[in-house]
Amino acid sequence: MKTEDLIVGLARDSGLVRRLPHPWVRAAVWVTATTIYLAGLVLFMAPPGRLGAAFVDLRFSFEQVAAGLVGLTAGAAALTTVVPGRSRRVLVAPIVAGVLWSGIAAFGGVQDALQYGATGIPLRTDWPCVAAIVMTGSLPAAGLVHMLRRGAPLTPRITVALAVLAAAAFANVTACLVRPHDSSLTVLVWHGTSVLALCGVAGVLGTSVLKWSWSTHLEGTQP
Amino acid sequence: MRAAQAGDSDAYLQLLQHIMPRIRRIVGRRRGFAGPADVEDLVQEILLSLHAVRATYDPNRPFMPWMLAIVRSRLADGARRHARQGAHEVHVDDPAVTFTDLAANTDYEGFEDEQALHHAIRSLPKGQREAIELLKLKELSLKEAAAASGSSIGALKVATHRAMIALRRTMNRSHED
Repeated sequence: MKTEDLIVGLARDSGLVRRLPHPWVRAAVWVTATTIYLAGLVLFMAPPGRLGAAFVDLRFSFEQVAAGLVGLTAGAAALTTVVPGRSRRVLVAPIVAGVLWSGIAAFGGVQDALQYGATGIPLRTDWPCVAAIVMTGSLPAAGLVHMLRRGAPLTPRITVALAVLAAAAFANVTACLVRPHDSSLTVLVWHGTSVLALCGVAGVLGTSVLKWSWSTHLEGTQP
Repeated sequence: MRAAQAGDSDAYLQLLQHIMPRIRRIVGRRRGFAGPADVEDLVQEILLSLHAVRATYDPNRPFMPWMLAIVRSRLADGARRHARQGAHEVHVDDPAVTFTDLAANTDYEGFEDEQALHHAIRSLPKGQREAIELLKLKELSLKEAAAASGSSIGALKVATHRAMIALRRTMNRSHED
């Protein structure tokens, strides 16, 4: 097919287009929906009195706020990466938030070491939390990927990894609120590794999840 | 682009016609090693990509950075695809000589007996005959043939396959006779 003919076909195909809102507006929508969903889960699953007890610890509260910040910034960054021409500087925000989150958790680990001694820190396996992060994070992740598909897959690996980071960060908050943990080091190692592993897998699968696609009635005009 | 997003197809046509030479120039410069057909393929792919994500354009922002981000992304995809294909392809030079058999040296394998072929087609069952007439004689696409005959694409494929086997058998038999 000649390019000139393709252009005529594309012009003929063009109708009224519903413009994509600003990435931060879309991020706000996703964060609101995710927060409502996960808050419902926490209220349903947390043992009585758990929430009140959890937020007494100021360091724990900051850790959850930092994790939420990772979720918010990663979600916004993911939604920004699918808009052509937008600055990539937004990618710095989830990195900074991630450093803050792991820093607070590491600080908790140091506090534990001082309290129990380096060899006495109660470090346990935490598979239930890994499963909880995967299960509770799946729906928000799927929702975010659905939103991302309306954009341009310019950097599919980074975009999907960020989307999963956002969902996993919020799911991590849920897991921390529902299940009490003996030490911050357990959270840092098990939750942190799970989140990173999920991001890695998402990054590998990125190009399969987000692809360029033409509208079905344009199939015949593919070059 | 603002007008195009609002559904003005004339404005969109003008825009695409205006940016196409520029995209072609960029692709030609960046993919100097590629042939004109490959460059044109990539230009078309970029235009399709741009069309597919036109909803992401914000009229309050400049158009060129938006377009160039798509061009850059598609160029990178194209380069990756080229490298991947290159890694799995072995270039084979055209052999100087071919088989000595006459059939291997003729570009066009003509029907030796057109009458017999027409007769063989006429003797096919109705569905198979219709499939051959639409797809092979009138050279319609599967979609068009399906629309014309009222059959599904799958049924047309099966009918064509069976008809070809029957025709081959009939023609071989008439050849032997």
